[in-house]
Amino acid sequence: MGRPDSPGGGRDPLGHVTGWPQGVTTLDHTADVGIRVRAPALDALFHRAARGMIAVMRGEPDEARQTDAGETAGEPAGEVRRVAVEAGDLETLLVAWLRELLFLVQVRDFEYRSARFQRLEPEGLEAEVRGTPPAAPETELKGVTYHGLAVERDDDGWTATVIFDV
Amino acid sequence: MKVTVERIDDYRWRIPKTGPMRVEGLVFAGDAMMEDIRSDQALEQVANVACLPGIVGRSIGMPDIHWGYGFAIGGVAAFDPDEGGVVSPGGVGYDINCGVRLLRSSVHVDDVRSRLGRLMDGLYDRVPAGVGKGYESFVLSAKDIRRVLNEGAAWVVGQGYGTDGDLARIEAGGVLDGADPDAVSERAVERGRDQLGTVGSGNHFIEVGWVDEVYDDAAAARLGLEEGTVTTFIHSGSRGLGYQVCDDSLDTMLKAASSYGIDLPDRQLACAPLDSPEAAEYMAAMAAAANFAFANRQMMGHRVREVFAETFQRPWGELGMGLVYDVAHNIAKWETHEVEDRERRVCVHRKGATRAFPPGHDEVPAAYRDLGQPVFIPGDMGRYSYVLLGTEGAYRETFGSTCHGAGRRMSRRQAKKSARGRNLRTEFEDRGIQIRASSFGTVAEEIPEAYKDVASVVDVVDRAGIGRKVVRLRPLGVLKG
Repeated sequence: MGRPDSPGGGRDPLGHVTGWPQGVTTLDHTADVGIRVRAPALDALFHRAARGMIAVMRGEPDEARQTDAGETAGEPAGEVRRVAVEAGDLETLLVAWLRELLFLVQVRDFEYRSARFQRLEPEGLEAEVRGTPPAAPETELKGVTYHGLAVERDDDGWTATVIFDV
Repeated sequence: MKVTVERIDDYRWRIPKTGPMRVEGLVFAGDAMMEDIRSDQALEQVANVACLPGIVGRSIGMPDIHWGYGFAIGGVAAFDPDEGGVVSPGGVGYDINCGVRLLRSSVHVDDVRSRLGRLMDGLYDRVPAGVGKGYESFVLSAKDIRRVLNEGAAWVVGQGYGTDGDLARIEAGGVLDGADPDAVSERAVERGRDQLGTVGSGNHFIEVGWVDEVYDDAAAARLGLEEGTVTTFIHSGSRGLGYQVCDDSLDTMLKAASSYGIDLPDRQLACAPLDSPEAAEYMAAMAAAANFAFANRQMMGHRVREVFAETFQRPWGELGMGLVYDVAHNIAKWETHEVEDRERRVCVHRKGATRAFPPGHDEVPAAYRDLGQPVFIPGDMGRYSYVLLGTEGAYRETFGSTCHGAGRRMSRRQAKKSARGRNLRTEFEDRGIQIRASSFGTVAEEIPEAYKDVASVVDVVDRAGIGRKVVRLRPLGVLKG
C-alpha cells in the first residue's frame, strides 16, 4: 500500500504523521478551507480525505511535501476505535465520516492516523481507526459542509471535494 | 442559474425575479464593490435563497456579502409560516449567535498606552483564546449547562459575573425564548462545557480600542462613546456547542426538505417548513445555542472588566466600564414586520448581518429608544471599526438589518503566504497596536490586507439609509485565538 515514511514527510517526536498527505490539494476559498482529494480506490479516498482534514487543522504548510506516511492500515501503535456511520450516498457518507473524525479529534483527543474498513458503501461504513493524541491544532474547523461537495469516479480512480467551515 | 443585476440607484441593485425565484433579490453595494461581489458566487446565492418556499419581501445582500455555504455571508431573508415559509440552518451559520459586544469606559486613550502591555497580558492570561481552548478550572456541570441554555446571559449575571443593568443592553435581553436544552445533543454539550467565557479562534477576538472620530456628538455622548475614550470589543459566538448544533441539524434538514417536497437549488439550503416538527426542533436548539453565546460574551465581558480593574487598580465601575450593547449577526428570529402593507410574523434569517432596529422600537433598550439600536461593525485588526444606529430605512427595506463587517478579500492560504517571513507582532507594534495571540499562524490569516476596507462597507450602509454612523474606533490591543 505505501511506505510508512517517505522523504519530505515523517513523524514528529510524539509520533504524529507530518507532511501533507498524498493526493490532497487545498482549494482556495476566501472565507473557508476546502480540499480536493485524489485516490486510486475508495478506501484510500476516505483515508486521504481524513488525513487532509487533519493537515488543514494542523496548518501543515507545504502541499509539495506530500507523504504516503500513514497509507498503510497496519500502522503500529496508537489507540484503536471503531467508527460506524450511516448515510444515503457516498457524498453524505464522506461528510458523515469526516464529521465523526472531527468530533473525535476536538472532543475525544483522538487524531486520525489510519483506517481499516470492514464496510464502505454509499449506505454506510464501519472501520477500525487508529489514532494518537492530537497535535496542537492551528485552525479551528467549525464543521464539514455540504458546500461544493462531490465524490466522483473516473477511469483513473476517485476524486472528492469537500469544504470546511472555518 | 444565471444571475443578472440591474442598478436601482447608487447603492442598490436588483436581481430580477426569474425562473424558480419567488421574490427579487436586493443587494446593497457601490460600483467597485459590485465588481468584487460579481466575482464570487454570492449573487447566485442571493438568487437561490429567493427560490425557497414562503420567502417574503426580497432576498437581501449586504455590501459585505461573500460566498458562504447555501446562504451567502451578509444575507438576510424572511419567511412567512402562513405561506409555507421555512427555516434553514445555513441561513444562520455554524456559529449560532456569533455577535459583538462593546464595552465603554471613561479611561482616556492617553492613560491606557503606558499600561497597554500589562492590560493585554492580563487579557491573554484570563480569557482562553485559541482553537478549542477552554478552561481547565471552569467546566460547567450538566445541571449548569441546562441553565445556561435556558437562561442565557442572566445565568452568568446570577453567578456574579456582571449586573442586571447589562441584561437590558443585550439583544433580546440576552436570552431567546423557546430554547430547549433537550434539543441540544450530548455531543454539542460535550463540545461546549469547558468553553463558556472563551474567545475561540479564526476571526474571533477581543479588541481594546478608542473612539477616534465622532460623526454624531449627541448620539455618541448618549452611548457613552466620547472621543478619546477607551473601548473593548468582544467578537465571539456559541463555540463548539453551536457548531455541533448546526452540524446535527443539517442531516435532518436535508431529509426533511426531501420529505416535504422542497426543491433545493443547493443542498446547503436544506430547510423545513416552519410549522414542521423538524423546524421546531432546530429553532429550539438554535435558541439554546444562542443563549450559550449570550452567556459566553457576558462572561468574557466580565473578565475584561476584572482585568481593567486589576491594571488600573480601581473598581471597574469607577472606570465607567458599562456595556454599550451586545448584538448577534448569525441568527434566526421571530419578528413582526410589515410586508405588502400587512403586519406579519416572520422568521428573519440574518447570516453575517446585524439587526438594526429603528428609534421607537420597543426592543431597543429604553436608554436608547429615541436613538435607535446600536450596531457594531468591526473592521480588520489593523484599521478601524464603526458604531452605527439602526434606522427607519432599514426597518422598511431590510427587515431591520444591516451589514456586519468587512468581508475577506484574500483566502487564508494567500494571507499566510503574504505574511511569510514578516514579524507581525513588530509590524503591529510599530503602528501602536499590541497583539496577543495563541497562534501567530491565525494572526497571519487575519492580517488587515486579507480584508476589504470596512469604511467603504459602512459608507454604503450609511448612504443607503440602512444604518447611520455614530463613531469610529481604532485598535490599540488585540487578543486573538
